[in-house]
Amino acid sequence: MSTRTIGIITLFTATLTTLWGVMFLYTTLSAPTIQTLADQVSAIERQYGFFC
Amino acid sequence: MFAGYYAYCKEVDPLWAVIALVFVPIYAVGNLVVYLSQVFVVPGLLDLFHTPETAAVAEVILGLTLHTWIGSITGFVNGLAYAALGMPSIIFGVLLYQKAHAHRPGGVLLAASGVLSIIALLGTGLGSSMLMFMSPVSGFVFLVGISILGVRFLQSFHKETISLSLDAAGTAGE
Repeated sequence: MSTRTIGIITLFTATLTTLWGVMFLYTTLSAPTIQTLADQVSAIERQYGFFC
Repeated sequence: MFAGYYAYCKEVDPLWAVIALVFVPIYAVGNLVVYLSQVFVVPGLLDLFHTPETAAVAEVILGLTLHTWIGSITGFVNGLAYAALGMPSIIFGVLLYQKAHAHRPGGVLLAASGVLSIIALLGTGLGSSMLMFMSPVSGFVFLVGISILGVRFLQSFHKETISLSLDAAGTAGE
């Protein structure tokens, strides 16, 4: 395996890692957090008078 | 990529190069299980969580399966997978450092990312959010390290090509 092949594969991996990082940040920032889920539980509890 | 590093580094230390390579499929399986569970299991559980009759049970299972939930099994397996990836990162980082002067900066960063991954796993076990934060830091250091390595590998290929061309020209001149 030539150093050129290793270099290309390494940079390709770096590109994929960057894309993964961007997606990870996007989903982490946009997905409902645990606090949001907890808030939703509290809202259901208030509405129905049961839960937890 | 690690297979390429194995091919490149096996002359330095064949045993450690093989040991490093063995950890890669362990990481791959661990991470695949975690990510597939987030894609196929968690959405269904979230639906159950939003149904009052099943919410209590769903909450317990979500606590075990939601990757971002502190103390979840998937979070631990994810950390374990990255710690498994840390081993080849450390070993190949050291071997690349030993192999060529040009790969020293990238090798150091690769090894550092591996150490940070293992620290992040310890953080998961200890419940320390500060140590767990080392996981994304490790990912960033890994990215910078392999970017430098990728460029350096391409540069070394061009140097080899130029060197071979000069040798061929010198031989033809004689």
